[in-house]
Amino acid sequence: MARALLLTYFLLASAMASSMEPMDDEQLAMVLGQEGVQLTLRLRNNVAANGTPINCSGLLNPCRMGLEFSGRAGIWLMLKDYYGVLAINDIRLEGDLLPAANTGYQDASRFTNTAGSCLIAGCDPRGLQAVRVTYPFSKGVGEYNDFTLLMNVGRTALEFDNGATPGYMRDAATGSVLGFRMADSLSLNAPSRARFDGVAYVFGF
Amino acid sequence: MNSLRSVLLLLSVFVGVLPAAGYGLALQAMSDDEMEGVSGAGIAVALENFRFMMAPTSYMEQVGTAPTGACTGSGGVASNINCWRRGDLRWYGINLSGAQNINGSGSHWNETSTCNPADAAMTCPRGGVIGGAGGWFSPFDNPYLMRAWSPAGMAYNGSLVNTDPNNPTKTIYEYLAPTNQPDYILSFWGEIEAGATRNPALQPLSVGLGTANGGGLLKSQTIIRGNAAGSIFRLFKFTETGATPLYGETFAMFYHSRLRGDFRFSVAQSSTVNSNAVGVPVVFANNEGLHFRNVDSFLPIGQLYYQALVLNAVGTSGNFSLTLTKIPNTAAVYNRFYGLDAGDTRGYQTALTAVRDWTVSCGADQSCLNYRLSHGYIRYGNWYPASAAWAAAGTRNTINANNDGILFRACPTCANFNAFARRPIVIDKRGETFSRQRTQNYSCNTGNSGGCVVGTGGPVSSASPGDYTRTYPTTTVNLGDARVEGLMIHQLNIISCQAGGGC
Repeated sequence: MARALLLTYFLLASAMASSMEPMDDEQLAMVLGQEGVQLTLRLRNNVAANGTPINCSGLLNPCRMGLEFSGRAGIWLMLKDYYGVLAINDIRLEGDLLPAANTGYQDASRFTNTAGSCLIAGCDPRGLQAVRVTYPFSKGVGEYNDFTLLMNVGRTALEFDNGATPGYMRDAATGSVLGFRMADSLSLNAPSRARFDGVAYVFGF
Repeated sequence: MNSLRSVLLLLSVFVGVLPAAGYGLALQAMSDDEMEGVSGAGIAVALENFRFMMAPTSYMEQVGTAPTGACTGSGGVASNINCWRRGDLRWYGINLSGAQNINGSGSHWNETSTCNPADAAMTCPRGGVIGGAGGWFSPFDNPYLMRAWSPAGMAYNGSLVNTDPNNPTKTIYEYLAPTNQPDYILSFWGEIEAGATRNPALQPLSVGLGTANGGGLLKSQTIIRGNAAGSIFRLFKFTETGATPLYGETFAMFYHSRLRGDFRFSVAQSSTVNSNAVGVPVVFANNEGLHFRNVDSFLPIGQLYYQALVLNAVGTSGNFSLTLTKIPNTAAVYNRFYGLDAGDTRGYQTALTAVRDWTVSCGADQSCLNYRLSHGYIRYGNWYPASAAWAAAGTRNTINANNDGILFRACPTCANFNAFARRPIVIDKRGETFSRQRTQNYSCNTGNSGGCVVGTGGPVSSASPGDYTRTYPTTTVNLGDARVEGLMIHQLNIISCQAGGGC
């Protein structure tokens, strides 16, 4: 399966938001990460750098993903003609505290264990530490640049192990249950575009 | 590895930093000892000032395939009769946005026409941030949860599971929606295309159009305004054991859907921003379409741990099934599933007590609790006539009410349409003249002249049987409220049919 992965890191100091530059490995190794980070991620799966799928048509082409479930040994749910491009642009992660006042939607039972005991003090998350996640850029009307995704599953069918040949290396089913795409109508293989407004607080307990 | 470690380590893989204890505004690495102090019971996601929007041109697509016995002609010819066409479905601009009552804070699919997300006629497909400025889609004190968990339940063989919370024997993974959250809008516009011939991986949407092959293209808009608080999605290993199991210990899914609010489906486009070109967003006409107002639904798909959605092969040609497993013929299981009161072998009395006063808690009545966990419902409108034992208010919808129940509306500048309904006759044991077909339904004057009143004649009176000119000329017609209660799914099997040969 042809697969390409490009991962780029950016680190953001809070006072330097307007002067970001890529860092090399040595610089990155020196980072202590006291303020927060900003990431841009690119993932290409079976797609060349120019955006075209790599050998993803025809029988038994290498662009496929197989799922084998517990209790179903030797039976593979195959996603064929499978390729995609994912981009997460300028996602920012910072440390923060949860608010000090409840919202009016409070439900303390969300923070209890199965025996009914609180997993955090007083079943009260106010003021707890959290990871604050935002997409701070591209917020104008009509801007959808936070998350882009092209995904293609040309055919879906089950394939079965056959002797020494595992099912995921076969293309015996002549038809397809379903084809699925996420894209944009602007042009062929243009990725779908989306935006996230607001703040996500991620915390464990 | 516990769940908190999972998220922290996931973050650390990318950023090399971890939250500090005692200093909230900076990220610092945690020591192993500090991490050992984390309970690991869940990952919570709180969302403030939140909105998610796909671009109006971005879509998810279910791509069809040319069917066996495909149509080859168009119009009224033999080659266009008793045949099938490929169908493609596309959902564009999916968004989760606010339902705040702020005029101009929402927008249509062209992004320049503004609207009010709380408009009574549900004219506005996209709002601002959920809950308004400073509001919460997922409150931090009632957040979305993802956690590994060991709740009590019953196995397929009827044995109890996880009876001791301190020594659980089975663990699941679950996603929980908040139990209380503000209303929001989930909407998209869509295309149904019949007869397309394009290879979507190699050809743009403008090639191989269905409209060029005797098929067609229909654009539609779906707006849901409400919330899904209390919904639960779970993953676990199914509990059927034995040498020749029906399903076996396989990957199992569970979804309890709770949805409440309003729904609108429409197809009419506005007179100013319209297009029949594939992939081009349009503005849909106000008001028009099918509306469901004041909906409250609960659909239980699976039960811990004796019923679940599982996958299996169908034959050997590539097809598969998605099955909601059947209830085993084991008294401990089906008695819990049916939630029967002692001595009620048929379930009528159980159902009566469980659904009659649905706003009243079951208390410690275990049969009532079991019943309400395994039996779903869909309620359209605030319900009229109310049950005699139910004290909550219920009012009869007027014939053209647009704020409750199930209704059809025309666009504001459209002409009247003629509404007519001949509902199935409900035979009252006291005789037909007492049946609701006669006593509860509207009867209209002849000649499509309206004048509709609730009388004793019903929509087609006995005085003029077959008179289909007794219609109601209107721009809005209300069909009334409806309730589906006791919705229990004993077994469901969905089988694919196109992976190779028939099925």
